[in-house]
Amino acid sequence: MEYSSVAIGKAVEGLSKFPGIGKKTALRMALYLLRSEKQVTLDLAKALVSLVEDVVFCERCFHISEKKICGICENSARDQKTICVVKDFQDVFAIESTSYYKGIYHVLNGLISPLEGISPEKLTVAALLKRVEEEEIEEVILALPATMDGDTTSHYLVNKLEEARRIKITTISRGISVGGELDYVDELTLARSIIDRKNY
Amino acid sequence: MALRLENIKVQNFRNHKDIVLSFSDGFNTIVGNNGAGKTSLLEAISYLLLTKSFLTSSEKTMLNVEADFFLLEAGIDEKKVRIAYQEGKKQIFVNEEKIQKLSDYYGLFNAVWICPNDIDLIQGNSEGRRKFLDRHIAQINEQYLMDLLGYKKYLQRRNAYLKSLGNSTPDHNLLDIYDEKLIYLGSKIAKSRQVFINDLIDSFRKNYKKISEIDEQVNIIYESQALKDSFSNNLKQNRFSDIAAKRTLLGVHKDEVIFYTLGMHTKIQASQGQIKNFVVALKCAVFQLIMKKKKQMPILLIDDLNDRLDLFRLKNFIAYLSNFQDAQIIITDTREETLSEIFSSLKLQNKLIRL
Ligand SMILES: [Zn+2]
Repeated sequence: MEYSSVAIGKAVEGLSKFPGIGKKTALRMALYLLRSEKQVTLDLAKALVSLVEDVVFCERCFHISEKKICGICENSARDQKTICVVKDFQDVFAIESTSYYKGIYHVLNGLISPLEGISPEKLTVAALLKRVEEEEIEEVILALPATMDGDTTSHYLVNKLEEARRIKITTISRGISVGGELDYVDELTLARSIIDRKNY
Repeated sequence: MALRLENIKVQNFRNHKDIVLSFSDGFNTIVGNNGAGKTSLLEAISYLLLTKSFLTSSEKTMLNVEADFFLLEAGIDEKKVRIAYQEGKKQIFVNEEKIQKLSDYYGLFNAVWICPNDIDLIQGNSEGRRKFLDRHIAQINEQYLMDLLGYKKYLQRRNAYLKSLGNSTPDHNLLDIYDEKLIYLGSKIAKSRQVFINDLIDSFRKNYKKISEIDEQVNIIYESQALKDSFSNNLKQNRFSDIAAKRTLLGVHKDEVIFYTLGMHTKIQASQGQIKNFVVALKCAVFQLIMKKKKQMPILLIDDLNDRLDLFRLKNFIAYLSNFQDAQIIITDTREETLSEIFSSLKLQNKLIRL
């Protein structure tokens, strides 16, 4: 399609890269931004630049952060002996929104999934094992999706953790939803499944 | 109780633009010249009952060349079934309610087909024989389909992992987990397959004797590595070969079924006539087994009876089929007069459907 403006063409190109956004919707978004107050669009542009330049990943738990160590890890009021292992940082947001969980996290950055070319060494498994060996961890909660790859990853982690050190390993209740991803579960169900967690 | 297909409406399915037919209990014979579309009508019926064709696994080939969708409707056992295929997707409705999972539909209505391709069961590769086992075991055992799908998914993952390894060191912890699943599901599948063959063999032999009218010894042997006590060890010991081959070399995906006639391989030694009798007797045995296990008489679909048996055996065979009490049997053939004579001489009701 011709947009009769290189700038609009570029904006449409960029916006259509969002999952679920086609060229048509991208054009509508670009035109909306163009018609909005200039400052609104400039603020958004600044926020986007800051997103790539200022957001880093916590060196300890791999959650998104602005410093080397994230606010959750740094918070001494939180239980530093309990780690909740999640697939990605969206799951941290989901669990945090329940405000029932007082421990810390470990973000795996995915699940073991050979079909997508993700083998264990592409995840933060080694860093998790190192944490369990070096920090005074007492319990690891596995909060991974109830899918085939989620189950395989949990199983893999349990074997590795048991090899590393004797600690308590629990898992959140499986009944959440078949193939359910954490961020689609309602807060109450999620809060209950963390409280009712079972030994693996 | 016999399952009963009351009527069908077929739209844009192969050469049928729009056709409505009704069926009666017992025998129904679809007659017409070659090219009239008898086989594709039977295929549409098979697809309605099982969401499977006996000719192809691709819906695209079933689609009329001038259309972008096909629609099949049927009254089956007082239920209204509709299957629509469009843009690579199929949707199934039973009494206007959408079926969410294919596995919820498969097994709801049972049917067995007998068609010229059946000789591939004997002459073709082992994959066809495993598909035969899977299709029919899933009709009588709901858990089987789940186990099979699980097995396939784990196998896919294990193979993808082996393929991705290149020269890097394999993670044996991960392979251990996949192996454990493959051993658990594989041995369940192998047991179900063995039970199926065991359940089939007696009535298969009886059918063969009746249909061939010769008392020759026939046998079916199921072979699986997963039935051996040493399977779990064998899989572990074979791991380095798997890594070199970049795929899983042992398991139920390698199972074989071997057919014997007079103590020799049917595939190599039997005549065309013996092979045809063999597969017809086998399919009839499957039909009887489903009837027994599901306590519901399936529908028997026979494509091109002409191809199956000579005139002398045809009469015998139809007489034999009439023993399946009130089963609905739908046959395609080109010989209207011959069939009518056979049915009347046997004093059997037959609904003739001319195309
Ligand atoms: Zn952190």
